[in-house]
Amino acid sequence: MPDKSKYVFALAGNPNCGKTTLFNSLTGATATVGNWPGVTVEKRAGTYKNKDIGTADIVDLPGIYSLSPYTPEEVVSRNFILDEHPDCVIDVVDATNLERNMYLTTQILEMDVPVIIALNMMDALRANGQDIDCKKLSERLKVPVIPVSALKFENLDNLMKEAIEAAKTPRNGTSILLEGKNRDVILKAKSIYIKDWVPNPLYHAIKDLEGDDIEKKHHPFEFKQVNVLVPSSNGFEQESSDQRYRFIDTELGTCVIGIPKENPLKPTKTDKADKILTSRIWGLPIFVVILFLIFHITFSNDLLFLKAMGAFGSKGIVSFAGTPFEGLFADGGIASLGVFLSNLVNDLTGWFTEWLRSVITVSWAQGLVCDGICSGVFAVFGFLPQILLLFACFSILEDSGYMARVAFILDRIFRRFGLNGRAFVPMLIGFGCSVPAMMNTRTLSTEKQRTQTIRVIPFFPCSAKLTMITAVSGALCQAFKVANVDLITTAIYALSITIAIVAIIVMHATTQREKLPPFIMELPNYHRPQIHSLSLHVWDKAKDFIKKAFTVILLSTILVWLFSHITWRWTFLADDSELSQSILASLGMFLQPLFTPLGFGYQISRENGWVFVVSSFMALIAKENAISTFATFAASLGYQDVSSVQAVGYMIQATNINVGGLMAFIVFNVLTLPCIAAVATAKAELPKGQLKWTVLFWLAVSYCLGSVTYLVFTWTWTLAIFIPLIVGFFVFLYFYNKKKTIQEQQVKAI
Amino acid sequence: MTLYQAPEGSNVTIVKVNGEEHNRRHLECLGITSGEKVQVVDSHMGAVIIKVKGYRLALDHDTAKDIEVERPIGVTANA
Repeated sequence: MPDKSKYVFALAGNPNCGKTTLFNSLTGATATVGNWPGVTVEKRAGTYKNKDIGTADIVDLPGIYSLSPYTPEEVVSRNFILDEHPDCVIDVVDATNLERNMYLTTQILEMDVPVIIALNMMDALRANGQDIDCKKLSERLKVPVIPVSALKFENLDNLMKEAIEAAKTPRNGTSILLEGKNRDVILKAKSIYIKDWVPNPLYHAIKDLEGDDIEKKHHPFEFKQVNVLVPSSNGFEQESSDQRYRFIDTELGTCVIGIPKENPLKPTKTDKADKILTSRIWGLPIFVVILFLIFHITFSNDLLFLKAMGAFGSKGIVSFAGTPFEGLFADGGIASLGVFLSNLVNDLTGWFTEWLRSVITVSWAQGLVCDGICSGVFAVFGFLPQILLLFACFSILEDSGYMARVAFILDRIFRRFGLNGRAFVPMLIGFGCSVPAMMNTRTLSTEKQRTQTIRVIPFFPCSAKLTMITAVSGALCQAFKVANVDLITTAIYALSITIAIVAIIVMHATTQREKLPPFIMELPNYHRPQIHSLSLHVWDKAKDFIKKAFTVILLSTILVWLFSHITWRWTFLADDSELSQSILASLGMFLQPLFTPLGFGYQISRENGWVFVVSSFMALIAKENAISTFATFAASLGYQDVSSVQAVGYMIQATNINVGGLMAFIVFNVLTLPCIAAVATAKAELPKGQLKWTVLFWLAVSYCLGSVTYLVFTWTWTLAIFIPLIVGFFVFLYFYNKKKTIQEQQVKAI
Repeated sequence: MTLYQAPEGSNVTIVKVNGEEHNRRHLECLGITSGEKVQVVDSHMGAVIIKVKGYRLALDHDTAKDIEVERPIGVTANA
């Protein structure tokens, strides 16, 4: 093959073999992240450039244990190598664990593609007093073997040089299985594929004999012939895997030189850490504390509770009152990193908006640009530091190996109730923010699991919803002298978690039926997360989010602003206090009767009652907008500069809403459509076509439960109707599930 | 005996892997094959963490029930 100006290399390897680190070290900041077509498996591609060596596009295949068709990751990797014909496959192998890593290697070698082996983590192996005879290994496998350290950038250029060299000569697949007693069978099967001009005949022949589902589907004709030729293909698969492992044990084991310094039976650091972190007593509490700390450094206005403890007296040490930095540091205490960054962004964007305001003099244009576009998009930007910080924290937990343990302890508890423990991680992240929570669902193994989880994530009240809950319940307690804020907040949290779990159980039994996927997960060694990889990862998400902010989010904020600032006669309302004349207000009035079952419809003041509907709309941009809408409207009623609790208080006075209505308002807003940023994320993460059902689901659940809340709070006796209804529903569900299960078993038996 | 019943800390040999074809093959790729020696690192509520082929693998209780194991010859039951 002649020299190419640009090669395409694929990186393949087990999970946790350092493949992603190698990819990052080779491609640096050129990496782009997307999805493999049709599946939510992340696809990373980047470019390696070195003017002495050459240029190559590098595709990072997902981490896999074999090339069989059992996970979407395996199918994606297999199809890429077979169909996209990379110039060379770089098989990344963890030198400290040849035993398992080489299993995949023996399969990759069966394909007709140039292969080189990157022996990663050689430094770790050498530190333990061992080494690998690369020459011997290379002779045995008949492909180049290059020792590297992806982490320390060792030998990477040499690896690429060898890869480019290897890419120049085509290679025919070889199989260690040909050295065993099945040689003739494999060669016969191979000849059938050769006869039909199928590329990669050896690979297909072996997979065919192993009874691989994909072969059965893609090559039915050859599959049938092979079955006629070799009828006893049963048992071949087990034999072949035994043979692969035996080969690795006996042949490749001898390539490892030296005796490990550490006694392999002695507990390692990871073993010791696991004793505590996965302990039946401490495992869960430790995770809860870590979760709390992460939320604390992301959302707290009062880091370490210094203000609450009065550590700095009433004024605090970092007050910048009277300067442009006022509020940047929380007065009286220390703002957490997330709040600090968020305030910083808000200050910067605020100054920018003010500057624009001074430049633009036409009233409507000023309104559109400053109040519509800037305030809407910047409101979302204000969250960006917190979203990214949260995302970074959970990436660190993921990279360090801890998240796999958390998934395990949660699964151990919840599997008995038919729930997937792994899915609890994104749900818990949802208490912070739905956006990173939905991104985290990628780690779930099936599409249905992902869909279910994404649908319930908004039920977990995020930090923005918390401000709404506390403001409304605060005003409620003041106005009606009932209960207290803590009680209501706790009740809402308990309710939303219950709803989420019930929703999962219901979906699992009905629309998203499937057998709970088994929990089979490698627990990698704990290791320090790498800043390089982490920052690339966070930067990717930031880019993604900013892109969203300037498309979906921008468009919707402009629309909402426009509707809230123009009248039906197309006159522009320059002053916020004229909100009541806007299109949005009249839409609110129009829709208000629809909310009658929720207690903030027909029964409350026609004059002002629409504000609850409008504020639910405004909450779509950002959930705390629900309250700022009240404040704006309070201003138009003549109450200037009010706190959020006061603002809601005035709304209660102005509309005669009752306790039930307010509770329903909270329940509705907690459970309904999340903010636009979260909806946009859901759209990206959900399987195709599921968004509309998901939106419908959110609306239906929030509307129904809001109604129930209002009715129960207003007429307690209605419980006598709802309780039997709910019990009846579950009884029905129980029998429905039973019937379906029997049907499914019958189908399987056939 | 299955992996579900194997006591924590014990070293056992895998005899047979039952259950669905799909899972069985997936486990095979991860090194769970008959004859393989594994160490039960943690076992609680039936969910186990085992050491196999030099790495740690976590399994839920249903999967653990599908894996038949025996103690290596020469080790008494109460060892």
